[in-house]
Amino acid sequence: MPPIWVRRMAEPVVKVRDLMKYFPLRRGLKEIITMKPKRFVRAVDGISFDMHIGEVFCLVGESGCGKTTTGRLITRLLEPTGGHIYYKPSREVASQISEKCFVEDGYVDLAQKLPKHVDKLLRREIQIVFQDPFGSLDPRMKVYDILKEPLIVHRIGSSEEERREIIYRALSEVKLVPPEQFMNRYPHMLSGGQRQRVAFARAMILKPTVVVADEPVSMLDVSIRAEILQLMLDLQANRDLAYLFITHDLAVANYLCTRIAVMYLGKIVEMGPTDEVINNPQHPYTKALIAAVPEPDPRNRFKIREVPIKGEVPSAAAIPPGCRFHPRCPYAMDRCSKEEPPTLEVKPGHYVSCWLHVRK
Amino acid sequence: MSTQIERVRWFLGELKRVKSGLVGFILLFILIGVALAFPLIANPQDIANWSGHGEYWDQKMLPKLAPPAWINMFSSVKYAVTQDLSAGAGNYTVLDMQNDKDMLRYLDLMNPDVAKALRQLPEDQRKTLLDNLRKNLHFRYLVYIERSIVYDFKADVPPSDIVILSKIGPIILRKGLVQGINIQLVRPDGITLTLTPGASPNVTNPFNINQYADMMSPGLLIGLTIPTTVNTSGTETYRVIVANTTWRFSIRDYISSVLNSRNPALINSVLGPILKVANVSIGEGVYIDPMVFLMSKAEKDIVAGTAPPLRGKYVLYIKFLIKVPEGYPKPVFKIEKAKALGVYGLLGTDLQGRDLWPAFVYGVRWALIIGLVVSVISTFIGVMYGVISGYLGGWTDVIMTRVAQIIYSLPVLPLLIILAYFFGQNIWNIVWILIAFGWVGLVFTVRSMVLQIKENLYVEAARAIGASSWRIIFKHVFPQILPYMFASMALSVPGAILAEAGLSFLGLGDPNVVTWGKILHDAQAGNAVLNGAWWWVIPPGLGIAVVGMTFVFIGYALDRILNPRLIR
Amino acid sequence: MALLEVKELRTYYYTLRGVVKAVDNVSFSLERGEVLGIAGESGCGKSTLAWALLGLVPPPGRIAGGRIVLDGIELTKLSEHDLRKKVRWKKVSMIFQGAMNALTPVFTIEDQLAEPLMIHKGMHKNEARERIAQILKAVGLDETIMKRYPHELSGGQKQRVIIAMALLLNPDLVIADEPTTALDVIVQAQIMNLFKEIKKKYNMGMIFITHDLSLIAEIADKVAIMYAGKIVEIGSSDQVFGNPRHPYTQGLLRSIPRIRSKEKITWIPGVPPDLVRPPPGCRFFPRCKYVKEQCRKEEPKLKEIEPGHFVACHLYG
Ligand SMILES: Nc1ncnc2c1ncn2[C@@H]1O[C@H](COP(=O)(O)OP(=O)(O)OP(=O)(O)O)[C@@H](O)[C@H]1O
Ligand SMILES: Nc1ncnc2c1ncn2[C@@H]1O[C@H](COP(=O)(O)OP(=O)(O)OP(=O)(O)O)[C@@H](O)[C@H]1O
Ligand code: SF4
Ligand code: SF4
Ligand SMILES: [Mg+2]
Ligand SMILES: [Mg+2]
Repeated sequence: MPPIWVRRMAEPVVKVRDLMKYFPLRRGLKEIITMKPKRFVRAVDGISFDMHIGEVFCLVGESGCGKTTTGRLITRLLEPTGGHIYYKPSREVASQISEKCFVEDGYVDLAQKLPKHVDKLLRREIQIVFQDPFGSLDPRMKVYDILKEPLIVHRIGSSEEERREIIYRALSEVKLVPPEQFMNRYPHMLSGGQRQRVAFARAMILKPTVVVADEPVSMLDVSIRAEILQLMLDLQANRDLAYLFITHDLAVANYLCTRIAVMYLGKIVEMGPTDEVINNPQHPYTKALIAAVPEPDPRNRFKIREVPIKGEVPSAAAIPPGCRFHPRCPYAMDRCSKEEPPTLEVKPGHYVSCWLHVRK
Repeated sequence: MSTQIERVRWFLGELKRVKSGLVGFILLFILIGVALAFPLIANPQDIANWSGHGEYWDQKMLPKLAPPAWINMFSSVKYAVTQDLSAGAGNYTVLDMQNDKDMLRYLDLMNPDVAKALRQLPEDQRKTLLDNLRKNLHFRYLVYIERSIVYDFKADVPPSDIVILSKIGPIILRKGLVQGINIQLVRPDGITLTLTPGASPNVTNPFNINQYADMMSPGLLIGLTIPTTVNTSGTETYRVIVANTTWRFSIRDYISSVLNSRNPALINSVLGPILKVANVSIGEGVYIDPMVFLMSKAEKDIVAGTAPPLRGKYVLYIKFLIKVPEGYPKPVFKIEKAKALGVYGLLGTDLQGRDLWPAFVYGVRWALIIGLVVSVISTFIGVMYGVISGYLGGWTDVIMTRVAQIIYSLPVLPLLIILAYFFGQNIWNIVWILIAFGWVGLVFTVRSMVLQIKENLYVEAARAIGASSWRIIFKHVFPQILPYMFASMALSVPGAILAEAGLSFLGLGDPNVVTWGKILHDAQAGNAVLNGAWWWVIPPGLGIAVVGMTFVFIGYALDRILNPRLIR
Repeated sequence: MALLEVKELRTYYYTLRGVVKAVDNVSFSLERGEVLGIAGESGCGKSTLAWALLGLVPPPGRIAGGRIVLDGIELTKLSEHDLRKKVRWKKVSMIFQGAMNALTPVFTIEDQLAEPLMIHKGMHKNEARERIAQILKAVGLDETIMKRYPHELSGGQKQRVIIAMALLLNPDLVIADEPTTALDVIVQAQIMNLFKEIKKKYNMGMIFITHDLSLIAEIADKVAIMYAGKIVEIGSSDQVFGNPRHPYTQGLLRSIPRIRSKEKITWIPGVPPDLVRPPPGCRFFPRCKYVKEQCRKEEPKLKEIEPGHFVACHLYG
């Protein structure tokens, strides 16, 4: 049986095209006086990908490569510097949006400025769960009030009873049972795993179609991570939902995701179905990443792990020209330092950006 | 609802642990109690008539610059206490000149030989002769009035004055109409002082005008401070003490004026009896405290003022012999009030003889009102400003911060003085001015707190679910600032009180509102410190300090109690 | 004689909430040339154990009992002065959790490395420089790094400097507390390679602390699994990874996703206990699926179930 995402793959729900986010660097007085040009951190530097209902699309990469920024762009917590985020609203929401807002058959561009009420409607459909379960819940609010907030903001539920009912169901769904026991607790009365469940409940209560999960388990104890990952899959099984899962842990990505995009310094260098990318990596960086992942096998202690690449990720404020990976790449050629490699489809659905794959 | 109760209970529990906070809240309750109980523990009329109502305080006849009465509890030397004096024996007799018997009685005194002769004449002859004599008389009635007051002196230090407030008149002061006055002070040692020079020390016959001082003798009425007016009838002008004239007679002032006259004959005629017994004389340019002199034993040291006090009953007699021409009403002399002025009340009096206790108590009210109104409003404005500026960020933030910085960098005191000068003279204007400058201090801290809170993930989470900026500010940001807001609210109270006090002290306060600052201002103007009038300066000063301390205690306690929640 | 012998070590934090029994009756030994990996979830007392070995437990913590014998010296009996002069850095050095962010920003790397040499070895600056160059090379850094300030280095380079610092005085025992936690996978792999080289080159003991069982497998000869302040299983790596016997160890190993297989992973329900009021009996019983009546009452002792493999669980023996 093909994986779920293939079955439902009809049309992407999100189409990201050439998305960019540059953060201006604070200039020193000297730079301002000498009229040096503004410098930018190119956190996300022109990425494109599609997301489909039913899939877990994964962004992996090392720290600072722009994963969180991408997630925040899609949830519109940040305004993009350039590019497009085409989003196909659900039928219910689409019917409430005026014709003008659509750019092409059924898509709105989230990178454009939208009327206020449309903006709010669309926010409902794209939710985010953050990495830090300790920081993402207001310490002064009870679980009940935390979950009530999205209902109030979007005027869901006409009476308190109705809202209580919705919250009750949301808590049951994330397996915080019995819900009455959790409703009146403050976040500090919950374990990290329970908090992350509340965070998922808050995201899910608005019935979103896209949920960005930014490293939702990396701050949790190893022994309970699987529980949250399972919860994510359970939540998806019952609804039309696409996950954008952000992680630096390739093993987790391998476990959970249907497709993987590997990011390096603000660019996607390789993207494809999980098995393809993990078992048949094409980009030198992906290869190195996979080689570096440790495994609980004590035989490893006798061998030095082959990590072919040198050095560390350079600063996103000074991205190397050409292929941004070339200073560390063992296969770097002349061309690599001058021209940016194009993105090629090496196998159906498997994309790589590397000159090695460009056959003349 | 139950969580609210829970929170209050938790707060009270915490408060028990922060002792200074408990002290602060207890003090605050006491202060509020005092402010509310003001009409019960002081006379609101005193405050209503505090400024610009001299007659109210004259009426009250309080001592000036009197220390509080309770100093006797701590002092080995006992001071005379301010007290009302009782009236002694009195007399009011009228001789009607149309009445032959009365006329003869008068003649007995004026011309005993004639009177004798007349008595021996037969009835009708006498009548015609009396009628003839009557034609030469300028008056119809002869009125003898005698009033006395008694002061029982028991302390070590005599009162600063003995004052008599009376109603007198009408008395016509015309040439040929000799009106008599005789004021005598009888001391416990038997020495009688005749305060009115020219009067006889022993009045043997009250209707004998020769035993009185002539009221028209130069300077006498002025010295006695009896007001007179000039009256014109036809071509003749004469002086009159009109009916119902208020006469305030201060023994101290009178003796002073005698002493200051530098007229040895006058001094001797008034104070002679004492000087004679003590066997001393008053040298040139010696300062004598009149009351001490009057109420000390007649010994050698009396001039130096170091003779032992003479305790016992002092009686002051005031006698009049008044001639009333035909067609004029009979004179009245009524003592309305007599007082010995010494130490007074709970907090003494100021230089104008105003009771300082009601002013002090009333000051609590204004201190609390000014402190709380200014701190609550300015803290609230400051916090809102900081929150909005910090949360919205961008250009809004830049402009708002600049504006705040400009206001912050203005020299506040000089500006306050200028503004208070232009807008001032009204307490609420001062309050607005203090608010106008008070809110900026907070802005910068609040703004930086907000910048931090804004970075909290849960704020971002709220944005992600689509919450509006206002909702985030009120639901997520503001509650975090709240503890700090309460603490700084409490901590900014003393500043506001001090600022108002400072302005009042500089004379820029509301003239119609009695604040501690105003009391201090008056004290300064009245040279309270030079006069050693500590009771005028210390209570308001201490009051400001205590209110300030109260709120500082509360502020620190709030900070200690509420802030750990921020961290939790 | 073992290099390090820890016997019934107890380290408690005396807090307002109560006594936090962060390390409770922990015993193990370590030979020269051996690497002991200590693994466990956050808050189980790994760092506390490391601090106790150095006599550096932060207040309100205190060593409440037990013995630590290093090379025949009983550290628990030494005064603070002797510990500082004779033991720390010279005999036992530690790579603290997060130490790379604690390098003094105002001194060059050379200054920071020279200080211990000058203090403990009485070296002159020039002698020190030679040793520093040597040690930097050993951790894979260029000599030119010496003149740089911490902020001019990358995360991996800083961590290497920290490791160099620990090796500077040729200690008998190095304790590394989560030395790679803040680093990216690739840098982590590089640092792990460095540890492997060090292990080969120097004949010393090493304690490697981490919450990541995969990393333990990369380096440790001997593995101790800690749960709620206690060691629940200890044995050779092959024993613990190949034949885990404690339900907690088994659960942990099953919860790790692997990159080269798609095996279903599971989790251990519940959360670790509050160390102020740990459950009676076996501390793991609220989360254990094999729990028996006995487990709730009686504390399981570490038992040797095969040579060198100890497990504290009532399922055995
Ligand atoms: N608000 C911001 N202002 C300036 N620079 C930023 C901002 N947010 C992120 N950056 C920079 O953008 C780059 C990408 O950051 P991002 O947080 O997206 O990385 P990430 O892949 O999520 O990393 P991590 O794994 O550490 O979470 C980094 O160099 C970061 O310093
Ligand atoms: N200074 C302290 N005061 C009180 N309790 C402390 C203190 N330091 C640590 N603890 C407690 O002691 C227990 C063990 O802490 P420790 O830091 O040793 O754990 P750890 O295993 O190193 O965890 P991590 O993986 O998070 O570093 C924890 O429950 C912790 O809350
Ligand atoms: S393009 Fe060149 S430098 Fe870049 S990854 Fe491919 S081979 Fe390496
Ligand atoms: S002792 Fe009992 S509860 Fe503890 S691990 Fe063993 S079986 Fe589970
Ligand atoms: Mg991130
Ligand atoms: Mg630790």
